[in-house]
Amino acid sequence: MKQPISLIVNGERYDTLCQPNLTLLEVLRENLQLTGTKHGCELGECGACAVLLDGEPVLSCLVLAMECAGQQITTVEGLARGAELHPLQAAFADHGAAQCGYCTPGILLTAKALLERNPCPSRSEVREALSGNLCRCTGYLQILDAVDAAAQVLREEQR
Amino acid sequence: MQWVRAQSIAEALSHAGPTSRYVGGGLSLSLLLQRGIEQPETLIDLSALPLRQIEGRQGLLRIGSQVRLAELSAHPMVQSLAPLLTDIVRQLATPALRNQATVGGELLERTRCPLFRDPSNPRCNKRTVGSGCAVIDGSEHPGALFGTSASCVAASASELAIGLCAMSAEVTLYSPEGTTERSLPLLALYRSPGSDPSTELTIERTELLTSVTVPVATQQVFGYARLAESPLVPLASCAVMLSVRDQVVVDAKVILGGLTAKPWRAERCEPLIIGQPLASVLSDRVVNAALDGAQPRPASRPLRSLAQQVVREALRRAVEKHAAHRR
Repeated sequence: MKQPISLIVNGERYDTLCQPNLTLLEVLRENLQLTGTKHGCELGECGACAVLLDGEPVLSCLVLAMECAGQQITTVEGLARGAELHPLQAAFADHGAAQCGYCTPGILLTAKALLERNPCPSRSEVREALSGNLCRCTGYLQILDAVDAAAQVLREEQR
Repeated sequence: MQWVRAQSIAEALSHAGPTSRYVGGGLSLSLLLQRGIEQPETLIDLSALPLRQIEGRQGLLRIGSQVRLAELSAHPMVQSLAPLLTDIVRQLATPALRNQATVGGELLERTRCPLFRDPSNPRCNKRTVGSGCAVIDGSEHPGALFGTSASCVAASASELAIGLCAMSAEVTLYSPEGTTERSLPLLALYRSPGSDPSTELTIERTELLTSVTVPVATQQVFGYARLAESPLVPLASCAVMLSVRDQVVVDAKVILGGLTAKPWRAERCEPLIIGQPLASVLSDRVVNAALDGAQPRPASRPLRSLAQQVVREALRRAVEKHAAHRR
């Protein structure tokens, strides 16, 4: 039986109907047409589907959509500031940190949560924060460099 | 299927029945729902219940069942009074999973046996009693070494339980039939499969686990070691808790996980440690005694040496911590 649910995604309220056994990933992609969040392993191992729930990364392939009612959900569609890329997105482009791009939305959001909590993370803190996000293309170094560069931009913006 | 967000423990219990499931973080359940392995009619969401507190009182640490694993490991009281739990959680899963997974959900997670979780496999006594076991019948999956039966060799999933059992934790449960809570040693929450492996627990599915209580003892040192196939799938783990006075072990708990059908107390090993100088706990005799009772099958025989490694490493870390405390 479908039940009504209100989700707040990137600051906007969406009212939809869903079966209680649907995941947040399914509802984001299929009900709300927000396809920036990627469908990876569905086992909680790859991190491609990571979104922010009240500012903290969670794996949308394992979280049931009904659990998220009333919480603030941030997806990659909510990162850019109007027509301007978020500093993380810009840094990923500049450093070649996105190659096939499939893992990128999950990594961007996970890094965003890290930098909001810790504006000046060490390399090992970045590695630990991103330890649940797999990338098959880059070898990770460009990703780590991009997060460092974005952290610096964000710190300068705060000054 | 209907979703109910319970506003009180009484309301949660009022919806509980043979075809309902409680939802904590929902991570493990979600996977089983997607594969049709769990097909409940009612999902009872516990997120609005006041079960997300961690309190310390009179030598006890009380942890609400809806505390997220990330919250548990970051809590200052847990870090200072129960660092074993912090140590375990930091090695468990990934940061995003720890943000959502709850203490109660982790303790009650169903087995990670891949054949149980594969809906295309028809032979699983845990899913359908009497259908057989594809692991016993020749799969390359090793299954568990301890506490198995002729019906099922699935390993239990909880890593937190290994540490909490070493700390002699108790759980608090509410039942729809009773209005009062009851307590149970955590170790007694789990059962061996026997001839009916359909459940890993000794409690009814309608019972609601509300908190875990851990006695905090200042004289104790711990060691934890884990070998894992991936962050989500432990192969072998061991938690050791030693009470030491004047360099002599006065009490010991050695709990094995990962390759056990339930958190497994190495009872034959503990008497070899208690009353002995701390320096002697790293002997082969102690390590081998921890493996007494293992029931290896051809596919699981290699796990024996992994188990030896984790037991030795957990003991070594406990001894090392004691030495560090004295410095």
